[in-house]
Amino acid sequence: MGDNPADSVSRRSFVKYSGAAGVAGALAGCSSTGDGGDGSDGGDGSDGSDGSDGSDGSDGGDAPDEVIIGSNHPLSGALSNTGERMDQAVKLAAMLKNESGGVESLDGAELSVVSGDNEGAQELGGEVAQELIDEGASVLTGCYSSPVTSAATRTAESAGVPFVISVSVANSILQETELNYAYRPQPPADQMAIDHARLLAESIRDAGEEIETAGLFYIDISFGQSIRDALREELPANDIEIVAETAYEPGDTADTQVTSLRDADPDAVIATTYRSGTIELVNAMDNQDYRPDYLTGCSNAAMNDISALEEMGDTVEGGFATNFALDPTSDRAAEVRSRFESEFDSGFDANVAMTYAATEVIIAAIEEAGSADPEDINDALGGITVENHIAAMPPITFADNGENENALAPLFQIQDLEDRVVAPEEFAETDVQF
Amino acid sequence: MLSSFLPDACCREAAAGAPGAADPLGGLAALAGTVDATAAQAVLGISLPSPTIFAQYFVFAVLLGGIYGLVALGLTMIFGVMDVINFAHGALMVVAMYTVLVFSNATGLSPFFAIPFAVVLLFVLGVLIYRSTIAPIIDAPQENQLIVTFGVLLILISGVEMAFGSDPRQLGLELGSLNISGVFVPQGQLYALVIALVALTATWLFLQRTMLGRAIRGTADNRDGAQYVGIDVPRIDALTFGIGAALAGLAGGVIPLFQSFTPALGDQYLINAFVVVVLGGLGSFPGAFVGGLIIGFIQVFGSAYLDGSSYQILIFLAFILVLLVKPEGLLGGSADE
Amino acid sequence: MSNALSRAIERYGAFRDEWYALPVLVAVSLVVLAAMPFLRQLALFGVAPLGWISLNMLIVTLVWATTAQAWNIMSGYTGQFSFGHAAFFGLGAYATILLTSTFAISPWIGMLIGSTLAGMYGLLIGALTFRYELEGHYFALATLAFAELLRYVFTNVPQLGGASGFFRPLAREYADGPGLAAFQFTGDLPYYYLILGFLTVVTVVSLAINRSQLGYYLFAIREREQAAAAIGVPTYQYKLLAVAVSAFFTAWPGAFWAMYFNTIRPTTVFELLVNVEILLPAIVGGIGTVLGPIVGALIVIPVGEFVRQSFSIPGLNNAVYGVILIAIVLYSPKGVVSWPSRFVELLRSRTDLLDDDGA
Repeated sequence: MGDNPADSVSRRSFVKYSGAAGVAGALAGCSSTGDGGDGSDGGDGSDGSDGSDGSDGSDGGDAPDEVIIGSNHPLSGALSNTGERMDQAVKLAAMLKNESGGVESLDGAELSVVSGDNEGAQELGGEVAQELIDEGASVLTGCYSSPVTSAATRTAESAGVPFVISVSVANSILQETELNYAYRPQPPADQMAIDHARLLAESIRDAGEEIETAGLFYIDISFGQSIRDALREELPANDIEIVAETAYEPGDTADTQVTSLRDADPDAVIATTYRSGTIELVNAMDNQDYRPDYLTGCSNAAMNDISALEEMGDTVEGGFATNFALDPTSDRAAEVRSRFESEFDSGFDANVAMTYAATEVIIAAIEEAGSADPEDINDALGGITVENHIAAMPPITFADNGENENALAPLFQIQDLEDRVVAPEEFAETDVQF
Repeated sequence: MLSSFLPDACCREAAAGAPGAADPLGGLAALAGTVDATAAQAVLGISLPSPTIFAQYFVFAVLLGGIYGLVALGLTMIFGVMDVINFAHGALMVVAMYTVLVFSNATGLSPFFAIPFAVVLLFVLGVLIYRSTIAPIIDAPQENQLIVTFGVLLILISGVEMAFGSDPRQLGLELGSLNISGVFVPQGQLYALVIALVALTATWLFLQRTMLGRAIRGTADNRDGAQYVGIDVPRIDALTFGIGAALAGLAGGVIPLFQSFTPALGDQYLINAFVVVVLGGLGSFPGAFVGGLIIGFIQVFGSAYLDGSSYQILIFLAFILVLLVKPEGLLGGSADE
Repeated sequence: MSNALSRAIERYGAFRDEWYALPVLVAVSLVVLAAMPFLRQLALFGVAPLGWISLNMLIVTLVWATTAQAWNIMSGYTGQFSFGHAAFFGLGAYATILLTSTFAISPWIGMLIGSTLAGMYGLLIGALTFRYELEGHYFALATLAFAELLRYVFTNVPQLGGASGFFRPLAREYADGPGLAAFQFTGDLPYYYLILGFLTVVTVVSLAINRSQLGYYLFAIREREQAAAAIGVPTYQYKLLAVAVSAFFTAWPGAFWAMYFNTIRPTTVFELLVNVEILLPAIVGGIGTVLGPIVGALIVIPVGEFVRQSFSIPGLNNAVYGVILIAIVLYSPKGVVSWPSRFVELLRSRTDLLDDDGA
């Protein structure tokens, strides 16, 4: 199933360069004559304007019959388990849009998704972005790993093609650069910690229970450290004292960490890791017969993945988690989730949800622009307000730096091994249970 | 034994003073104050955790050390006899992990039956790899062998990844743990340690007591000499590489007993395995376990008392120190020790 | 065999024996590289044979060519096989981006400081390991340990960026805007010529060492260190010098990496695989030769890229890449640069045979 998009990538490589009529030919009648056909791919940034030449062709005809979205994710390598699912989320969003009649403002033009595999490698972030642009993508999304995203957004910037980040938590991607074509619907790392500390403390205390101390269990890479640093600020701000910090290295068991946590005996253990780290944590807790009052996850994908929850079983029952996720009050969101699970036979976790929402933003912008031209789509993104999306957050609208002004990460509780939103109130599907 | 963790405790004081570092140890110190003070505590004025917690760390350090020793066995064998750094060692472990997974799922048998199967399969794979890639350049400079085993690593890991994806897998054994007066011993790791010790003994006996074993030791000591006395060195090399791969298979085979695994897990063990091999002494089997225990203790007590992953800094400092002071390793020598 | 061909081969053989052959070949390769951004767009009858090569990939190729060239000065010339050059690469990258983003110091000064630090770290490693006479695998693993050590130091010290590392600041925050002075450009082409400039400098240094008395001593150390010491070559000092020079120049492409790719982390510049990437071109191209690292990089990275673009199943490209690597090393342990002379040898022996038959 994952083969099709990649197929088209390889086809592109040869079709395009041999100047034969192919994907590119279908798009643009203008530039496929003689060696001029190669001129359009000459512009990998050195002459970025050329890059948009190619796409000028696509709106040469007034209403294009397809608009291409480029999906730049790690489809092989250590991050591919998540990357592949994110890529599928992009495809599903386009598929559902096409099923409901395509892009209305373009007379029902179809959306098509071309995928590229960045292997989670910094060198390939920009490379793949350029390939997708060459292939006719009017707008891009990606890339999960922040250094890769950073490279890709820069390439998109110089080619003048908008880039809506699917998932990448590092604050600096947008905040320390000046990008006019990059947008991020998701809450970055510090926002995640702010929401977790506040909502967790409120929900527990409102229910008449106590939470005074916390122990951190974080994966010792960029993602884990960013959340840890933010939690160090935010937990004390909500009168929760951090009494233990345990770092987890990918590939280890969590035995020692759990002993340290057991020793410090915090009210809550807050886990920030990938899926395997969370599974190791739970295994070690089972082995040492340790149950803190609250087991929580901050930006922890495993806590929103039903298959992972089932694997971990009773130990996570009643636990809390903060992550971007589906809006449980929306029927459409539930539909998307079950459609995803049946279509791709894989788990629908928070990263998938966010990628899907990011693609919805892209689709809304195409709809708003009524054009396949990257400039028009970028203009639309700059002023857009997307109300009808499946993420549990208020309408998505972007600040000047491309961050979502209303980014929010809700609080879940694991009830009957399913993740249910319990706060904030407007998205809550159920009450907190103890 | 106290001496092995006291340095950690000292460093921890310094680390805790670093700006920006939270004090995760306040709780520990308070707790330690309430339990019986040990003699060392009274003398040195250093706060120690409760004896149960300390014993718990101790148990984990031994278990982890045993696993590291097992992981290093195959590497040290190939290292010691053939003078080849087998970069694909971790990848071979990964193949074994997924072999155990597939075998258990397909037959429905306990993974304990799958482990011997994985060992045999990896032996064959090892011989094949040796014949096709290492043998032609066994006399070439070491960097060529390094690149070749790196190539093997790429092929194996990509293969596993394409076949199984990179989602973490686990066997779901629920082996549970023993509770010995408040100290937990996870059974998965315990089995792994027992298997490691059996493997160590068996390999050692094989090298000491059999003709083939002696031939391997002879080759390790002096390749040219071995050739002169009529040992078929290329055949011994193939056998050694096969056994090395089989030991990687054993290490990879027991890991699913206690841990979830991904195609990347092999490489995560690999660097520590390098460290263990050099610490213990190239080619020394008991050395592999001594090295494994040292790393196990630094890792467990380091991650308990130091910030973040700074225990890794200690591991590499210890490694460099041993390299400089006793490059032949703590129990240095060849396979005949 | 036609006479013209055998004469051409003779001529090439004679040319290779001339003293100026190597400088000429090096100059030609550099000129070809300078023309590459344009060559790749050349089309014949609507077909651009090099069209699949992107500028970004060429830049990455030259980065690894430069590291391999620098690595070669130490490991190729003296035979001290370093498996930890990521330490020097990373120090260059970190010093540059850290000083620029924290103190708004020019990246060029940062690069100089970084390469000086790398040189000093190299001296430290050399002083310790050579003093204790670590050799072979022991030396390789010791250098790896020194690189891994840095990875965890940078990961665990918040002031050094922690696991998240640093982002390159905007050019106008420390300079007048993008340009050579800021080490930042708006397009990719200037980056390409900058890294080509780095490669040229390192190659010229390598060539100069190769042709000097120093090089002669280094080769002597590689071949028979004890014999070299016996005839009075101060081997310890020369090995230290080689490490320092090599480390100094390895930091340059590191600095370039940080500026070109915008952001670095301990995992992107110190990781185990970076050590492999640094030395791979030198081994594939021909260890201890001046052309080897350049030729090797021009094979290793484009082949990887070609395979990546050609195979539709994610991950398959790496397996195929592994097969190709193994094949190259198995069939030419002395590297690809030995191919022409091996070809000449082969043809010479064939023609000799023919001549003998004719006689």
